[in-house]
Amino acid sequence: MRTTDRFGLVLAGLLLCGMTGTAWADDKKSEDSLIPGLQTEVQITGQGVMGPNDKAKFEEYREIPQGASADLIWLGFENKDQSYFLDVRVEDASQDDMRIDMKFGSYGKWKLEFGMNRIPHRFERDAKTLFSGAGTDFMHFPDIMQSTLQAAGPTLTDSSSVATTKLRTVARLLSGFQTEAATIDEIGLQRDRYELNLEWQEFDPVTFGIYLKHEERYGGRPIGYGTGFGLALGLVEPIDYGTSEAVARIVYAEDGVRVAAEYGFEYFENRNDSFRFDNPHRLTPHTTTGAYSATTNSGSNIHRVDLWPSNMRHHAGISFGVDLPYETRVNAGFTYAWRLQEDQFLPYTSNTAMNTGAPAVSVVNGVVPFNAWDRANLPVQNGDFDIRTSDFTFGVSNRAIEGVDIRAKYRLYNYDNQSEEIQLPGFAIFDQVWENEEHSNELFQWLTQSASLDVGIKLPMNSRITPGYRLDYMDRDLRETDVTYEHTASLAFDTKPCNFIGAKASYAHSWRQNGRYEYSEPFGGDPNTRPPQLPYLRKYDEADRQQDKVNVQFTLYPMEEVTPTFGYTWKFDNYASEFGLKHDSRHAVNVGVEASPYSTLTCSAYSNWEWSENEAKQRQWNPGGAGDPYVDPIDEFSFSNWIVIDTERINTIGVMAVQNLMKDKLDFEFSGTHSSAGTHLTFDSPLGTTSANDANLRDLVDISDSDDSEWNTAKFTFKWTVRKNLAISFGYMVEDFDHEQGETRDYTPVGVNIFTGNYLNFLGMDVANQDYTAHTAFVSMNWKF
Amino acid sequence: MMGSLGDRRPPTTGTRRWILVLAWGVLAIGLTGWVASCTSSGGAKEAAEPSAVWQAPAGANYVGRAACVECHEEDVKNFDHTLHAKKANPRSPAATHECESCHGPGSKHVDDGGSQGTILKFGDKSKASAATQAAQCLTCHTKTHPDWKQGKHAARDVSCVSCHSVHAAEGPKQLKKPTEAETCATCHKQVNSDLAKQSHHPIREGKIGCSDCHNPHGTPYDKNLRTPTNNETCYKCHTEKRGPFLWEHPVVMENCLNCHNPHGSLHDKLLIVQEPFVCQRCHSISRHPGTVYDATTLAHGVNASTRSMGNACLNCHPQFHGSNHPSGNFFER
Repeated sequence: MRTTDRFGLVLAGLLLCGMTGTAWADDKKSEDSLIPGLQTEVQITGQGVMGPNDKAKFEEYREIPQGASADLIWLGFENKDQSYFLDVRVEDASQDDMRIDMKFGSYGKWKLEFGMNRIPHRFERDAKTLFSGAGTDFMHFPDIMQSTLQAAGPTLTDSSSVATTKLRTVARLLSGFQTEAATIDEIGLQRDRYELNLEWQEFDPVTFGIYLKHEERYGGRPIGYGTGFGLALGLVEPIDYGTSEAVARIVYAEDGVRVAAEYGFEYFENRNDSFRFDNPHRLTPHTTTGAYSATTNSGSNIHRVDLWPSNMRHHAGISFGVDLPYETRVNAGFTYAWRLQEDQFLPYTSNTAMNTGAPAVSVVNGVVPFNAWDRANLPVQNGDFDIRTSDFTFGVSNRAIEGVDIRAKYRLYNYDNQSEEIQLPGFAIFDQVWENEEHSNELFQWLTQSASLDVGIKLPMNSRITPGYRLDYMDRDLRETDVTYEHTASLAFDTKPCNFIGAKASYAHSWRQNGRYEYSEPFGGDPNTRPPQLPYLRKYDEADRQQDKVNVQFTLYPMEEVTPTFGYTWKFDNYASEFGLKHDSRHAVNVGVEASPYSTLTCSAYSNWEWSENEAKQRQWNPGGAGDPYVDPIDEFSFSNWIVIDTERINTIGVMAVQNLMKDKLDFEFSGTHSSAGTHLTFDSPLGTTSANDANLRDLVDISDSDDSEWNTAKFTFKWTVRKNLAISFGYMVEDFDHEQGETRDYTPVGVNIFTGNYLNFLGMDVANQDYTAHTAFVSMNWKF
Repeated sequence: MMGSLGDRRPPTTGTRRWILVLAWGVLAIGLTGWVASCTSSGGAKEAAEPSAVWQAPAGANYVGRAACVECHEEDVKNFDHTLHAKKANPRSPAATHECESCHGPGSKHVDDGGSQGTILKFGDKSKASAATQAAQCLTCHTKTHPDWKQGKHAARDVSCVSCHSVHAAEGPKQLKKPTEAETCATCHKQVNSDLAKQSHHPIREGKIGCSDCHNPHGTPYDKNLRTPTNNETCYKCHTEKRGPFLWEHPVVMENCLNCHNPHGSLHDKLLIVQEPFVCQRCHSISRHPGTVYDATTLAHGVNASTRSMGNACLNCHPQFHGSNHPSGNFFER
């Protein structure tokens, strides 16, 4: 335990003693509030956290402070005739996860609510990097290292063997530099949200409301960027966002009729329009015809990427609902929204060697038509991007016939893309190659409609059966499939035949079909230009699909004191596509019990077992080479095909118990959870090996222990009720987290692909989840006065 | 389908316009029908009494709070700490018939020595149906829960008191459980299991709740979402991803859930499967998208590849949610 921790504990102890003494001193007084109508509650906790607890995952979304902290400060006040009230609640005061809720108003007339909600999101502590400036909009790589690397790298005139040797030298140099990597204390972001809500009910049946929100997000998050093929860097994306929202609404509600109208505006501002970082392999901007393959020749010394553009949204909506004769309820609503964005574009490249007239070192030869690095010379400065969404809903429920409950719904959602189509003369791949290819943005849009009908029919023995049907229609523009229909038939059964059992069960089967679907044709199929889509592949969100869903729940009430539950769910998706996601299934079984076997003991426990499996099939190929579907025919057993089967499992157990040891004086509480999970990826190909090209001929090896995790928590608390308005709790809490991510997130600065001999440049930051075990001892005092 | 550049912009088709006109037509017919039915039945006020509402025994009268206290002292005491007990609000039970505002006139109940059939009892052991119990609450709460009757919960015999308790609440909003997540987990056990996974939203930490995204009282939208689509729900917090962008990734625009499980995942960033496999579910075009990335391609493998390390595909395509960069057409910046 650190000195500061001890100091915190001592301080907390003193504080608790002092307040306890005060409470004892007040014991002679009445338990009524000192000020009529005023009630307060304060909970102060002193705690010490021990063990390797400084990992980001331990405090991922919260703050566990050392020493004293105010968990809760509550103040409630209402005047004598209960016409006005004030309610202020502060949780985790002054911490990164502080929450404040304040309500002020007059019952039944008006209410003003203020909220402040802070949530941290910590990604990593002690990440390592050679860059400086994490969290800012520019990360700098040491000049001396940069010049050393470039001097050691191959030139365009080097023979293959010389280039390979030099690349390995670069790899060794970069590995050596890693010992000089600096540590980033913390990569994380903070979200602070402020909300104000006014509700005016005095003119009942009309209510007016105004809602205002402002949110700040700041900090950074780990992200990957590339400066060329095979050059991947772990960096920190700077975050500095502000979001403001205002909504006004009016509601009329009386005698089963409700009409509401609303208008809202939201503006998101990103105060960083871009993020720059040094290219470790390049000191001066440069272009080269070998830039595609010579990884150390990547073009620009500083790379610049675009960050999220600021955007805004307006929406206006109206809804109504009414109770009609014959026990009919009709609801309808319409919302229209505008999403707008017109942020200024960045230059096409940060490489100043891409000047007007410079040769375009690209697949399509030509010249660079303008200074692609100069913002002032951009052919188009910004876009007028405009998405209009309209949503219409209509629902009817009816119970006119005794025992028959009918619900019908219809919904239309239109995503109308009215954005400007922008013609672009070309683009810069990373920052070393100008592709002289005219192209434009594609204006995807779609429309969905759904209609459903459920009829609940009452059966004997307090049971109900509900058959249902739903039709989903989707019409997409510019995607592989245009029109899709999905039919879903469902059956639900709910019963409570006697006092000691209740059950709910449902089954649904759906068929998704594409109206104009040509299974074997490539999208945009032109073998000469290479199709953007492999034949026999339809993306799984568009492909024909059959889906089954089962859900069963039993609750037993064998006696007043015990309530066991049992549940099972199964979902299976089967996609009709030769490649891509083939099928996906998930099972989950859970059991639970809540019990109060004695008047002094309340306990509950649950366990959940879940396992899932999905299979995806791919084809490894190079144009014109082995596996090219236009050279080698596709069949189920083609050697270029391969599959991956992803199996996952998770077991979760939770236990909770509260035992009263001394009536109205001493309670013992225990809660604990255990969850263990794991993923296994199995690879296979029809011939046992895959040979998309000869260099890759090898055995496939499964990935086991991938994203395996175990998470255990236990908390023991003794709660001593000193007097009716004073309670002191003390206890112990332990959390243990262990995660194995299958090396994919490890810190692996650089290396060489031993199989191919190719230089491999991955300069990560070591942002894998780190294990922790944290022991926390705490004492807290809850005082109501 | 992929014609010249000038043809790429999809036309605002006549079909779409027709569907919109049809939708508005249905709305107009509905409104007309409503007005007509109100006229013929003497107005909406008369029609607003669904028979699912508890019907008190004939001749039952209100007996007042004192009679209730005689047997149900603890319940009345708990009631006094709730918003229902604020007499200053003229619409509260306290300002009208107190206990009997919800339970119905109690004279027969008193006369019969407390028999259940003579008064409306709430909860699992009530003889009244879930719809009847909910209807009693909706006599006041229709204003805030207009979609309850058309929601999934109502269809599956869930009533207000399945989650809330006026007399024995342990959580906010009169919930029977200490937290919102625990309340929902009573039935939605699989979602509860998701929350225990290493990658999750801060629900188990109590920083956000189920109701930040869902409205359990019913909405016109699927899964009781508060907004029309999954994406609009996500954009409430992840506003930066709303766009629109110069370069859009259609699978992202349509549904965040194509790649993420918002309730929890074994994999970072709530991904449904690991990178790069989540990308390869759709991308199998030539060269690296279709390459097999097995264990030998991991950091220490003999065939080590940057596409299996760090952010995998996203090392080079980080802006896959959408890019506004003129050279961002492959989501590289």
